[in-house]
Amino acid sequence: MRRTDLNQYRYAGLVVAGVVLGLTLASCSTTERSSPPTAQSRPTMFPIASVSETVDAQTSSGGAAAGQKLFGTLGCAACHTVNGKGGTAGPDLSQEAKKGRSASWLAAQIRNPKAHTPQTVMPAYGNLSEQQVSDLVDYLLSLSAAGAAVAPTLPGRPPATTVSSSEVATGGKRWSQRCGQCHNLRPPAEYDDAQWAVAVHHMRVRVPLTGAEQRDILAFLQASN
Amino acid sequence: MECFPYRGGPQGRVPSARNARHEAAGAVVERVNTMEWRNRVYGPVVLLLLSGCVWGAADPNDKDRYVSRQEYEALKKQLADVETRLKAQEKAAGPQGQVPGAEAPQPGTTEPRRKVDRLGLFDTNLLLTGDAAVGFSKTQDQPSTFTAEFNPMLLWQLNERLFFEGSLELGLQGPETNGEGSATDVELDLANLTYLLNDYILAGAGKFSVPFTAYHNHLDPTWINKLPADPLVYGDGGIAPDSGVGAFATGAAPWRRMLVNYAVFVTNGPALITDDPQAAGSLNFDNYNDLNDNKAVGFRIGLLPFSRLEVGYSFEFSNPNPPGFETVHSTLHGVDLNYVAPIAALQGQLTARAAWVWSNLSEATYDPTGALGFGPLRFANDRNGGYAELAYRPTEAAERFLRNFEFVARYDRLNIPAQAPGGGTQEQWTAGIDYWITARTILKAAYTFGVHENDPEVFALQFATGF
Repeated sequence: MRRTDLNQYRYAGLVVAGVVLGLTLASCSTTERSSPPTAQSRPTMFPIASVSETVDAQTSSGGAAAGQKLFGTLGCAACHTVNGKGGTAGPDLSQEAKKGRSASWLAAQIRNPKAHTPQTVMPAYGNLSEQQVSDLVDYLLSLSAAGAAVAPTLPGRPPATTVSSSEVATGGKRWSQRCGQCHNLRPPAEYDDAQWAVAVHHMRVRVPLTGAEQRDILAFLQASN
Repeated sequence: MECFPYRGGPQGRVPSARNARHEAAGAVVERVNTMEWRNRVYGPVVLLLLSGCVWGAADPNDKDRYVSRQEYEALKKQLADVETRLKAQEKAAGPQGQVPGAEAPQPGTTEPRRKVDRLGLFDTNLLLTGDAAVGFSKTQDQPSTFTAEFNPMLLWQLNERLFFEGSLELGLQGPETNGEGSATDVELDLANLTYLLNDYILAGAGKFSVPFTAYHNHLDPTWINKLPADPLVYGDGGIAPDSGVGAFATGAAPWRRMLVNYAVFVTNGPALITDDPQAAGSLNFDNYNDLNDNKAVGFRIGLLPFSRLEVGYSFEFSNPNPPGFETVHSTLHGVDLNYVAPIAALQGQLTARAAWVWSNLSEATYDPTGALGFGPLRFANDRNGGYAELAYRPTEAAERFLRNFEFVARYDRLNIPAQAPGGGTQEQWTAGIDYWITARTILKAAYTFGVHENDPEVFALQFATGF
């Protein structure tokens, strides 16, 4: 069998694949930075959940403990994994200190993610107070410093809205896990409420989803767009 | 598991902003109804006043252009009376804006709209989606070629329970002879209506994606499939169904600590190919007509022990027998697996997918008289095949542009009885590199290595997008 007519494609593909794979492995092998981190980017291909920003955050004491509570209240765990628990739409936040992230960088990322990555779909939490942002930063930096921090839990007290932040957060987690199991996630902002109603109904039929999953995921997407 | 009545769909439990908008919309309707009555009263009043002004200004030399004090007081009293009556009418109308003593709606005008509104037909939502792809492929010993396809999908949510899904597959067919032009191949891919019975089950009918293993139902759109070509077991000449015309019921429910999804279906079933010397004994899954008053029935059960893993088992039984082959039965079994998880050690995401299908058809003699030129041909018609795919994406790589790459490897195998037309084992490995331009737009490059001497090698590029 003549295979010479495909040799050029085979060799070119091998060279390209080798270069890309080599670059990837070289990049992934570095875990410590020799220089302070510059503006880091987040994966932009996985739309990151956003939850209602009108959450009554409890920040009476301040510090990492308050930040942990706020992390759960805001539903950050819907998209970010912390110590093995949480969603996978966004990056794992368990090692921020070890990655060399500074407090100022984390604060800027929370307030305005697009300043670091214009294409990110992480919402901007610009309405948080200085204390709240500081608490969140303290909590994130404490994770890799302290080791086994307790993963945040979702708020147990539903706020005074028709859809509770826990439902939205649960929806975000279900969205990243159930929908992310087959395909990349469309950024919530790409569709309006009516379009998401149709899209999620379609997934209810195709996946299939339970009724509760459909409602939670839709609540999350409509709250995040 | 309890089967609860459907407790209101997603539009019945909406965020407060949406509720507020609905309430605001309802308030606007109320105001419009009230305003219509108000306008009917105010209109003449304003017109009267304007007329008076115009009349007074019509003749500037007219010594009577000014109203007298008496006339002014009379007009003022009339206006006050009108306002009083209007307020009384508003008070009597209530929230519905139905004025007592007002003329009742004529039959055939508002009444049908109320009925239609109760059906919710004016709350429908349409969404146009789908996928498209352009490609280039070079198969060993064949000319290289560019390809293009467009697969629009129309989704129509009629109300919170009723849903329509329709899609077309548009591609190009090569000409039969050099003198002809390429034809556009148009296929009705899907057209089905579904109804949500409760939180755990829905029913549907029409042309639908047969839930036999997970591939066609979940993974075959061009922007989801990580390689340009389908696995052998699902492609042309494959042994698994993709779509069918019939009815189905499907749903999902929690069970202990797992999630279970399930589907049962009945379709017109595949057709047995009996007179094609190159395909006799194969099932034609592109047949959507019932040729023998026998339906295909099947089911799939999927288990999700935890959120990142799904394993499934599928079954289909049919009698695909044309006249002369009444004793031929078809039994299909399939297993599938889908696992997606971030792996911290790899600083990225790993995706593992696999499926295996067994196809068992009763023995039969094809072309028993030899009239078709290839018979008599008889063989044990047991076929099987599947694929295993592994993909890695460095989502945590330090360099941003590397995070959009994905490396894919897939093993395909299809075993056809040696005595059957086209029989033998086809086995191949495919290595691919993908680049995700956006979450739904992907550039793929793949090279397929045939294992056996007769297995072709293929180089393929594809640019695909979902919209």
